[in-house]
Amino acid sequence: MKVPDNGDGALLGPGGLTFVACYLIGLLALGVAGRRARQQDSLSDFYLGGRSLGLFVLFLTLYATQYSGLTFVGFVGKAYRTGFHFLVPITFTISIIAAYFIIAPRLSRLSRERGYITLGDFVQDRFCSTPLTVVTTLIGVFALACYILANLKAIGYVVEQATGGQVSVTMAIVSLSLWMVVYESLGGMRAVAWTDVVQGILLLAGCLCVFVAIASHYGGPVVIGETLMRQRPDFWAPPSFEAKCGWLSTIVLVSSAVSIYPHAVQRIYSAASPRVLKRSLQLMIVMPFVTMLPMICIGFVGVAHFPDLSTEQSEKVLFIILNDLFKQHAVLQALLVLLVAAIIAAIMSTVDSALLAISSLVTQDFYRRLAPDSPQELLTRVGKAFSWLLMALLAYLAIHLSDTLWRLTEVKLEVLCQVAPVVFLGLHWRRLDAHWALAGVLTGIVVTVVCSRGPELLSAFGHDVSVDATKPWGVHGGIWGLAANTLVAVGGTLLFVRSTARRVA
Amino acid sequence: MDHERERVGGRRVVLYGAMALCATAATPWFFVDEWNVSIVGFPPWAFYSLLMTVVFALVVAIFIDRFWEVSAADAERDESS
Repeated sequence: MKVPDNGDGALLGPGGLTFVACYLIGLLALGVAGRRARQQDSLSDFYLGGRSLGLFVLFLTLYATQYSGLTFVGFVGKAYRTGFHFLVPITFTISIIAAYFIIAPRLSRLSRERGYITLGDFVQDRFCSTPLTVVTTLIGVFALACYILANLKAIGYVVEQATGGQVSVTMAIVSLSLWMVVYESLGGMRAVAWTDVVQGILLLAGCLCVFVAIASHYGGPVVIGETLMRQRPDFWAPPSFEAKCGWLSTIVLVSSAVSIYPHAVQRIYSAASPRVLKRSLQLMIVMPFVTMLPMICIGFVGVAHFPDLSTEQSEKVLFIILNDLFKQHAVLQALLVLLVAAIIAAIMSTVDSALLAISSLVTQDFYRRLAPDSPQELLTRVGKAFSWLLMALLAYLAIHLSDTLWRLTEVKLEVLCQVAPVVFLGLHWRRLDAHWALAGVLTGIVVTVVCSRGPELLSAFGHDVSVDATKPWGVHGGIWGLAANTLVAVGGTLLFVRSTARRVA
Repeated sequence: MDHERERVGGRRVVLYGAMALCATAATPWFFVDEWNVSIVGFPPWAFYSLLMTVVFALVVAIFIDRFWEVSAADAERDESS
């Protein structure tokens, strides 16, 4: 099976490359516009856009940030391999919005009243515990760094394939990292949010256009479903009990972790008003049905029409379907340009948002605590300098990181969800005690690492342990950790803390 | 004021509990046997899961619209006033 190209192995011809170049120049122009629009040289203005994001911008920045390049490439391939069992992303994306409903109304109100910039500000204000703030911030930095690393690596491969190897993975990572850090330093949150608007529109247009073209040529879900029922009866079998537990475990894991990603919290704080935030979240509810579902259905089209792809080939099934489509409708070549631009846009919007959030965590939660009298201008400059340093480090790691360390980055969500009790319970349960919350987080991390990586490590040291033991009953290690975490935090507070002793958020 | 806070707390438990129930119900727990039937191109269990996800989405949309203030209620303000 062949991936489409322009004769020289490149996905994009000169026209397509010109379109992508114009798009990149446009991003830089938006960075400059963001800088000109700034109202003051302060952390709140730089990291939260002066808390002034309106409905259109907030919705599209939430959308573009939440959906990464994985939606295009990873989801289609996974749907190809696992069939209807891979419908779970639709449910977990709705559950992320449900989790926002639990935390966003109150966090948004508190952030306005008390001037929060980061999640660490809430934790410090609520619990008055520097160790807890430091631990939650470190977990946030770890999760974001892993997220950026995975996306940088992905963008490297996409650009290499788009240019037929004329731009290497290394060159793509270095140049696009530099591009992102430049427009982020210029305009902060405004630049990132405005570029997200362009990236969000590209993402949505890419998903819908590609799906409509593919569905009108190969047939819609009904036709594909009839073919699959004959070809792949195994897809028709309901999931096993263990798989169902894994299904629910995925929903809990993703919703509890993704909703408290520092860049997601930053967007909650950036809304111009609670009404804007409310409407943006309502619009977000529609997006899994017009973004993820079409991509998953394209995976099913792949199974019906290109049934014998290897695992590696299945990762490129979207391009293989498009190649087949172009043979019959050459005019649809423009779709490929849109698709590649949308994939690059999806990845860049995720990376720039995560970079801005990580820079805010370090500046506000670490540097500002060490130098509390620093003027706002200096803090903003420190934040920008840190963004450059961090991007350089992450670009280097994305190019050189060993496979063993890559495995470690895979547990980012499982580690991040250990902060969930601190945020969810901290917002709604007055009695939750800082010491027990911290003990819970640390217990959760230990249990997570032992459950997720313990069997693998023991196996590596020659012990006879099945690596499948990493998900007992199909449940992620992070969920076992979260259960232990909540038990320690709630149990310790109820048993050992007097009800009137703690203050309330 | 204590009574008001308890009432808001109780409503929150119901709202969050209803969302947790929807998320749990979207998992196709009750489907064990394979049925060779296609409902708009999906196996019955997958169609059920999608349908429950749509219900879940509607519930969340309505909650955000109607009960935003319940979720935003500030316990400290209630206590100090």
